[in-house]
Amino acid sequence: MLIRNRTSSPTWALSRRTFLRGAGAAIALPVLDAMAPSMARAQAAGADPVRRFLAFYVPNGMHMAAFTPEGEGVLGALPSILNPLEENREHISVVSGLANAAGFANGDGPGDHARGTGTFLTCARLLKSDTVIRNAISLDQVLGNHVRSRGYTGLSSLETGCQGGGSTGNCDSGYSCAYSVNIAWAGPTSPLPKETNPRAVFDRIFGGDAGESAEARAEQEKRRRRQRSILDVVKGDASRVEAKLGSKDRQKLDEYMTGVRELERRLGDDSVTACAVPERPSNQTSDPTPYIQAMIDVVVAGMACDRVRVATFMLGNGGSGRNYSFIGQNTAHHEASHHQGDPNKHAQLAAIDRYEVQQLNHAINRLKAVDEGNGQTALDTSLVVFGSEIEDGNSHSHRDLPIVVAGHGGGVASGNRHVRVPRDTPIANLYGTVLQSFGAPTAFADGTGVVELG
Amino acid sequence: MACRPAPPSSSARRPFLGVLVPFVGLVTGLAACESEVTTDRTPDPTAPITPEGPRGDGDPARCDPGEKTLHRLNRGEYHRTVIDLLGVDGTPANTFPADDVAKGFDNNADILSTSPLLTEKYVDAAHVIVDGLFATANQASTLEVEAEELTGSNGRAVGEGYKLVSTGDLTATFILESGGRYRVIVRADQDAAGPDAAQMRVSSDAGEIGTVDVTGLANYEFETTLPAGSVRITARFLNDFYNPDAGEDRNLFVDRFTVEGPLDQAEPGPGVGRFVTCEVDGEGNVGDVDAVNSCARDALGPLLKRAFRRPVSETELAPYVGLVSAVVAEGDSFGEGLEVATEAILLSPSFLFRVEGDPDGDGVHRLTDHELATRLSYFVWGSMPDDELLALADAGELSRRDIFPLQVQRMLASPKVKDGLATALAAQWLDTNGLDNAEPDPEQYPLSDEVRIAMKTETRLVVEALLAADRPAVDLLDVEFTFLNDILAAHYGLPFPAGDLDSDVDGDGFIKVELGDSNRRGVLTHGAFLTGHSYPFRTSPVKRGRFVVDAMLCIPPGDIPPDVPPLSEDASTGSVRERMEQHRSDPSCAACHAMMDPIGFGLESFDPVGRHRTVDDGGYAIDDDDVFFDVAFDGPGGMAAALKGQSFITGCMTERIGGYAIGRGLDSIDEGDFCTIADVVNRSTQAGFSWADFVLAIATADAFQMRQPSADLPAATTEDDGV
Repeated sequence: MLIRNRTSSPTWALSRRTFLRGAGAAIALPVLDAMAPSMARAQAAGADPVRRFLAFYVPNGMHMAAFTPEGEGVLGALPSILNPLEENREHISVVSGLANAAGFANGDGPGDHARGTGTFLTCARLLKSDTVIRNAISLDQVLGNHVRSRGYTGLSSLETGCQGGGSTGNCDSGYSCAYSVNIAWAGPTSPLPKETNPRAVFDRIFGGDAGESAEARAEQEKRRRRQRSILDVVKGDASRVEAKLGSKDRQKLDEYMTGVRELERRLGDDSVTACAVPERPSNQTSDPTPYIQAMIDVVVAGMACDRVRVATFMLGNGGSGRNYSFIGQNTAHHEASHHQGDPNKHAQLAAIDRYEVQQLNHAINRLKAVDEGNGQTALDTSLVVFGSEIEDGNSHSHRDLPIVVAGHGGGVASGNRHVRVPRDTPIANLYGTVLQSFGAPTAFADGTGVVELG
Repeated sequence: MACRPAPPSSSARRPFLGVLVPFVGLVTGLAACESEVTTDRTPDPTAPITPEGPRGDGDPARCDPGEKTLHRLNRGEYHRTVIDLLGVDGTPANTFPADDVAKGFDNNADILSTSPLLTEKYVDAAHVIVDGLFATANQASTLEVEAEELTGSNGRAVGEGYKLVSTGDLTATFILESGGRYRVIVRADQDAAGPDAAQMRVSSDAGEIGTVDVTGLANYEFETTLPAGSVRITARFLNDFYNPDAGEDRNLFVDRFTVEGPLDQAEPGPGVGRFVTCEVDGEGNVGDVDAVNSCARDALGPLLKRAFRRPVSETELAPYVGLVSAVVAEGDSFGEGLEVATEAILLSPSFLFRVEGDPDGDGVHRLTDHELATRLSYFVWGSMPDDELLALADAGELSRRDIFPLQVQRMLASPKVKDGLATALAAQWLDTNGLDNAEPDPEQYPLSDEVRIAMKTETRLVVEALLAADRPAVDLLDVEFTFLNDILAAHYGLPFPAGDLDSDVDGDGFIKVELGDSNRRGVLTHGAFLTGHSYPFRTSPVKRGRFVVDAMLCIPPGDIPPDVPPLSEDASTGSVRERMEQHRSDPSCAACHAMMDPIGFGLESFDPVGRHRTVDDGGYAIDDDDVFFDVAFDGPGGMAAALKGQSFITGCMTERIGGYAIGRGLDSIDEGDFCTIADVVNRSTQAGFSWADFVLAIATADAFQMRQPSADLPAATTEDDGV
């Protein structure tokens, strides 16, 4: 290539396609028609059954009065916020009573949004600081490590969201922004930033596809070989540098080398099954609903092609102040969430929360449309955990968290249930259920067992 | 050790107002500090800029420099470094995830982590960056720009394209590595209305390429000659038609710009001319194996040194040379081999991380001159050291007391300050980045992208002007001029002296405007700050005040106690200010709000998008008088003066900007950091506290010039201290 354009994203984002140009990679097919090759692959390898997980995080809690269903056991009438899920009621379990004790103040004072968000999937106590970060590994990463250790060769995990992060200072009362914009953590000091552009997520998942032509395949093979040589040189430099470093610095370097090894692993994988790649999505991020749904669609498309099994999605960042006038609510989300019992704010919140649940319903419908083979859909094989960093924006409580589990996780959830657990049951127990569905050890953080979803 | 007044105990930090204590102590401790710091300077001009410290036993530091973690280049640093290193253009780091921010800045080495996602982006970016850098002649290619990623002179992105709704331009920029004949394709459509089809004129910087009637969605193709370098291709919508009564509206919809070529003979990629010193033939070959190895060594040796910002050994160079010979052995060109080797350089930890060594175990020690050059260069320019800095480091002369200050001076005078320190201060310390998150209601407070961009530029230009001026750094708060373009002047309702455009030397459309008797003064009256710290539907004196108290006084904001009654959003019950007065009447709120609110109230004459106003949305007259730390003021100018009068503002600036310079959070509660802050404030103040004085004082602080070896990572806190 001799020319390059200046407006950044198109060319840069396309880089991995650049060396495969002309390969005729993308076959435009709607997501719904995409046949997942995962089952065949799993069976051929005699491997574990395919399981998938999506964490669906929404900020600022829920207006619980319009969220929690009456009674328990079989789901009764759905309250107004959950009402958009009516068509999928047999696929959902509402779980009431879970708590994330790591979010409690316990002397750390205010900062519930950052604290609750950072610990949403880790259930670990955060170090309150805006210059040093300490968290722990998150559920999605445990799952990603598990599937990788069992021979899965796609992306170990995928982090997505619809609100960028990092651009502005202190995020919440002395907590680093890293806590309020990242729910996925590879380890104590390693937040995994999310991709917020649907097109970039698409390129990450599907960008390496060489398509069928022999010439393109040969070109791809050469490119892979060279990348492996490059990474060998990189590793050589790393070991020379490492020899000069103290252990804290070595850990920083190792974060990078972990990514390098992950890349090597994927470069070594020639088993990627051909897959009908959906249309590359738009990268507009200004019109919220198409933006959010494009992101959900591309995540599900990645699952449909079995390039992704474990993903996180943050509809907004912790304590998000998204302006919801686009659904007729003239308020910023976080401001409305401090409702102080004001009925007008309750109404605004219920509308915002209902909107968020509609997006969950969109994800459910997408998963339902993915054929996993054997008469199953991705909804049968998946668990989606929908939840927030706090119970309610006023109380900032980390008890009685608003949780909906969608999907059946290969049989751990039958659906159409309202499960009430004893007050202060750790949310880590629900994560134990997710681990159980993956056939992984169920112990997680402060968990004491699993939540029986019935 | 009078120079290291003991910091207050950590218990003094709370409650809230206790945080002031360190800076109060700092100010009173200065006099004691002076004699010691100034008298132990040695007269030998070749001695290090920082003299031996008083701590004995060969310890060079007067203040404990603190631990500095291995520092990854952040997104902006990577971008600028690649451009400086290779001379390429573009925005390779744009797709990198945003770096997390600590104490206002996104270059905190402790917080900067590296995810597998970022690693993938590095790999992709490296490939794109070197693609073509060493290419041989006559490789044609296809470049595309999606129209929805552009901003036109009117209209908006719609779906997969961009809609020009009235007569106006949409421009895509391409970087062409070589000049020649190119095919320019604009994929376009029209909203048909009126008697004619939409007319589109396509032009380059050299003039019109062609004009067509756009009758439906199609590729409109042209062939033209384009020069190497940056080329702008513009689609102009010529014949808008609008008949609202009939609901007829003709628009031009542009889907994509494509440039294919060169269609004829092209020049080789720029890397060959820039880095290759041996003879390369037309096919990009240099001869036998020995010639390849020797040519690769000659090309890559200097490049590797600049990329790693230090001398490199033969052992380090060999693997990169090996990559080239392996590619050539496979039958591909020498240039392609250099591409692969350069890709490896861009992925090497020595490039991606600012490595500082601890050669002799655990004592505090000076940085090497190369490490110092790197710190200094990233502080002032946000990029790699240039050849002059590297040459001085090679000679071991950079840290000399007769050389180092001159280098700082030279660097501050360089245009590279614009993308480095000036942008960091404007975008991060003064948070014009916050404007990206502002969502003013489009009905009540419309704000075009052009105005947003202009607002950010305004603050950056003012910072840039003050960095170059010999006046106190804190004049930022009430500086009597600003920079406006016609769009921003119109937004503010200020006259735009278009006749002065002659003074616009860099041609960006911004000119220096004296603010005269308008009530705008200083950066807090800039649209970027005012808009970035407002709610969608109203101003927020609290957000505005809270940011200033945090960023300029280093008083961390408290959180809202859980049982605070909400601010009534009912404008019929009084002005925002009247409704907020309860904050200060309630003792549980007063501690914070007595400090934050006056700043916000002083700025109430600016609406949520930074326009001047005399009544608020509820029709109430603006009252912008108040009292800040016992100083009564009248309006924004008086508020800025009251703020500027706070003695600890310089301590806070040092904590924040010093932290940016070093790349770790400085904290006045820490003994070593407190010593550093006191030292910098002291020496800057003696010199007059211009920005140049301040930058030099930071760059000559022990914490900047020295290093404490890194220690082990403390164990992670776990949930066992939970419930």
